[in-house]
Amino acid sequence: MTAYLLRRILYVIPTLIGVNVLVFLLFFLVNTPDDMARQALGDKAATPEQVQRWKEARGYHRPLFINTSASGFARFSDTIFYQKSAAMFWGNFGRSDMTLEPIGAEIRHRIAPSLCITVPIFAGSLFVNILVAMLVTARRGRPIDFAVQLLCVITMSISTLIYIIAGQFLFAKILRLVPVSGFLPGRNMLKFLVLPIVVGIIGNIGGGIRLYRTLFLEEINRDYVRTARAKGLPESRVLFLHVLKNALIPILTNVPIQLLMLIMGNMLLENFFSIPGLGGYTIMAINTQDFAVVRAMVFLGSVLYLCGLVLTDICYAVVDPRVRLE
Amino acid sequence: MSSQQAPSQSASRNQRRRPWLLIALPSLPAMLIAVVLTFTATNDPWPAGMAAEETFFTSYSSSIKSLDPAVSYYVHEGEILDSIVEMPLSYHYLRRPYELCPMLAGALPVPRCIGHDGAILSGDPPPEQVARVEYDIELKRGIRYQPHPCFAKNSDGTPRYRQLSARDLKGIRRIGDFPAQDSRELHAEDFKVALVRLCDVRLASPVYSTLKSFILGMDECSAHIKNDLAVLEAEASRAGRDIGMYPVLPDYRRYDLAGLQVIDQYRFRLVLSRKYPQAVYWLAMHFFAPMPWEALAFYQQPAVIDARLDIKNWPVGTGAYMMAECAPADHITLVKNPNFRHEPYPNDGSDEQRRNGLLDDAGKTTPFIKRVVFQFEREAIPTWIKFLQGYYDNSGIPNDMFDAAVAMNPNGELSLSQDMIQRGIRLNTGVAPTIFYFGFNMLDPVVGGNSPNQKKLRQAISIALDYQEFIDIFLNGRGVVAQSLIPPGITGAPADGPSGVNPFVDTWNERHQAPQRRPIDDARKLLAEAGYPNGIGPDGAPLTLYLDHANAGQSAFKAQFQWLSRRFELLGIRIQERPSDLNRWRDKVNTGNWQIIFNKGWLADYPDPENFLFLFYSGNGVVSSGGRGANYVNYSSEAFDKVFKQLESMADGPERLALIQQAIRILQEDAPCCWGFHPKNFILTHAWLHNYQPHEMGKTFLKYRRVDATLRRQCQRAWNRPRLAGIYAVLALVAASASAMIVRIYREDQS
Repeated sequence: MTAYLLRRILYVIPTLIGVNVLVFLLFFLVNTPDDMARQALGDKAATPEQVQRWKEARGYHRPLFINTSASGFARFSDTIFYQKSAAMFWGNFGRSDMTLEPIGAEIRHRIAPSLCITVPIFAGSLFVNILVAMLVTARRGRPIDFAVQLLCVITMSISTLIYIIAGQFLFAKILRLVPVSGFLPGRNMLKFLVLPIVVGIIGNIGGGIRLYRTLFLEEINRDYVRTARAKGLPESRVLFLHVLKNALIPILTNVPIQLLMLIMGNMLLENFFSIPGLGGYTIMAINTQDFAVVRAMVFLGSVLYLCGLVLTDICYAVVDPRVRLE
Repeated sequence: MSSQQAPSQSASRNQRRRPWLLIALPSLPAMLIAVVLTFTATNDPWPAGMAAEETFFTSYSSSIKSLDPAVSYYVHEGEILDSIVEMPLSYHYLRRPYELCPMLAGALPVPRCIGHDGAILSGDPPPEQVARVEYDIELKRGIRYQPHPCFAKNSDGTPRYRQLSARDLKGIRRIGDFPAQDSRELHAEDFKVALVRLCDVRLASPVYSTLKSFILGMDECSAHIKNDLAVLEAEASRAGRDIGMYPVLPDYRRYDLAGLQVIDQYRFRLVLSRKYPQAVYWLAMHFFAPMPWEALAFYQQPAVIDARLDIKNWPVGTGAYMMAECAPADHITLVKNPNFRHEPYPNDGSDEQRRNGLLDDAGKTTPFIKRVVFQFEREAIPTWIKFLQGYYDNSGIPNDMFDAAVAMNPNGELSLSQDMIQRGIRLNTGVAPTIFYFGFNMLDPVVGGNSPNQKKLRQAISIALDYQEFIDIFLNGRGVVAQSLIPPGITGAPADGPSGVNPFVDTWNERHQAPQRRPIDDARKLLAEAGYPNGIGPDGAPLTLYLDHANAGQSAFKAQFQWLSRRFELLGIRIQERPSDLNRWRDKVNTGNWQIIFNKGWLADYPDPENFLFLFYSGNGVVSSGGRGANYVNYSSEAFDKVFKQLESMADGPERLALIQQAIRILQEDAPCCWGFHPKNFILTHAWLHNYQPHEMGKTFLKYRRVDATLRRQCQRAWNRPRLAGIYAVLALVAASASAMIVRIYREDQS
């Protein structure tokens, strides 16, 4: 197990280096520091001199990979790649190109609002998906099963954006139950979170129910289920005790990767509901062409995703002893 | 026997009871939700009680990058920043055309021209005789900064918060959290610190290049700071300071800047390297806001930086408001500055302004509003909904909602819809000091050049591009067709009436009392005279023009391009797109590698015609100046240059006005652009917001606004009563359906 873990972690490092270099090349070869400066300054103020000052203020006046005018280690360290990209490996995300705020501090500040909506959406979706999937599994082939499946297909076909706008229109404007958008800390927070959480859950249930229904149907035809029924156990007990327990293996192994990705926030919901989380931060950075923030978020997303994959592998081993890792 | 029967009977009883329990099970959460909603449902986005106070609620839709007066360059940032900091001069709130008035200065400064021999030149000397220009600015007495910890002192007079550690700042999130706050009087030296700071290369102030072109000694000062920084940063690095995270602070007070001399505590002298009368307008911009040295010294402490307190989020000023909460990604709250000198509301305005109630508070002490909340709203629809619910006091009109808010009256004018009028909403309009134009590259062999035929070609195209139609189709009527490049409200703008019409493109329609495009046959005639009869060139092929743009994939642009193609087809000219990404498009503009561009815009920095006419001075040609100039169309005309150089440095007066009109006439005839339109801003305000007068140049007028909080609360209550009946019905239905399903499953289990 330990050797397997070490091997998995060692796989992560070159992958991250690859991601880091690729992201750097994509950003800096397609969009040079001069282009970034001109975009940030706007047509009106982007004189060659201002462009140079903007680059110097943000450290983009350095060479990309090799600084031939420096000596020793500074040949590598006094470069844009080392300062802006490699530094992310030791947690130094640098400063925003637009606001000059430290990106690391901003990320720490915004994680909590993001988790305030992503965690309840994740937990609520999981609960509703499993419950409904179990119910329709129990009624498989009957009208209720077809009706739920049809409903799932319909909900999957509708964009989340429609749910957001319709939710804001119905619950905030017509019924006047919750604020249309915004965020306040403390106990006032709840009234702002209800609508995005409900919308987020509704947006997730279509695909979720269908996935879990498939998992449960696979289980329901197994021998141990037949045995349980033969013993005379009620159908609800068979489903909620035996089938659910066994179907949880693929569900649980899927959880770590999703949990880590929750940190990145939900771009669409945060944007429309004005929640100051990481999703909104990323969208704002894209809109304002704040490439330092976008690079940092891409790298952070990659790190979390890879960590999630490693944790998933560990979960497999823990939850299902039949899996042999060595 | 009995002991065996008892459990069996009990189980049987449970089985009989369980359906009722199961039926009740979904009802419990439904009832709980119903109870919670009954007592807590509200769509009020503000903390309880805040709307009942004299608070102004508004929103911003673009992110705040910086509120540092040396750096901030966006309109929405100016709305906030200019309420906190003040400048030597400002604009009069009500007078039109825009007029400067003193703010921190005691009076408007008068220029003193010095000749090459050092003698003072009288009158309005020609620029070549002027070696430098001096403005002596005397400050009003007794102006004090807002309360701030940077001014707090120990009993021995030393600064109290100058050696802060992380432990000292435990629990401190806002500037107001510091237990000791103090203030001091405004000094002339604060202006020197502000201007010297603009020379610091690390700030990359967007106006540095412009300012150094007319303020003496900025380049030298910048070089001096740069040299010192190299030494300071090397020392700091050796001492283990992370200069990326904790920048060093040079003592800006000790630098000599020839362009700003402190005369005494209340007077300073601004020295220009050339005659430039428009410099006074720069004194009304926040780049000239005073900067107390104490604030810079306070904010440069590592512990303060770690606590995320800095000058770009927590500016220090003498204005009517001061920062109370700063979370730019969410909201910004300003509160009344207790040290503000209580300026009176203006008491002179037009009769129309008096009729509109804009002089009801004349002479009263400002500011009226105690607190201002700026909420970050990324999307237009939520902002609009909140405005209609009464939670924002003012709002623009999203494009999607324009028809619901504004209707066209029988006279063809835009006015509020009945629904808006019933809510007491008012419509405020103002023409922005902006021009959007259709440009011809004057270096291009086909559309450029100054030959009579080339002029005729451009004039013909200008007639074909009916911008009134464009405004009606794409802007919902929110624009004014430009007769020249100078927008209404600025000296030299074309007069209302026949004399203000661009005779090469428009005529005066007596019936509608408005300009209208000349007939398309006039354009066809000009085109034929230019050598392109029916759009056919000398080579027998149809004339094809290429539109360079960076809007590929934008649906709005596709529709606009179709409109353009249709207009060009009227002349038999073909138009083709040459799309590129923004960076490549900028490269094309900088190298002159383009033919025609569509809707290039210019927003004035100050309300002087020079700020528009300089866009066509040959010395500012983008190609000839290597990207430094703003003459994007590379127009070059000796006649225009001569007139421009004369009027550029001339004091306002009839003589200058005649030159402005002459310059405009040259441009109208040469037609380097089809003068497109000046956008018209539509702002809606609720009935409880008073003294709202759009001002397109100044941003220092929050202090004049007044809110009737009682009326606002009444309206909010009436408009936002929760509708719960439908929710109760849905909850009952869901609970009943769930119960039925559970019972059915239960019965199947039992069977």
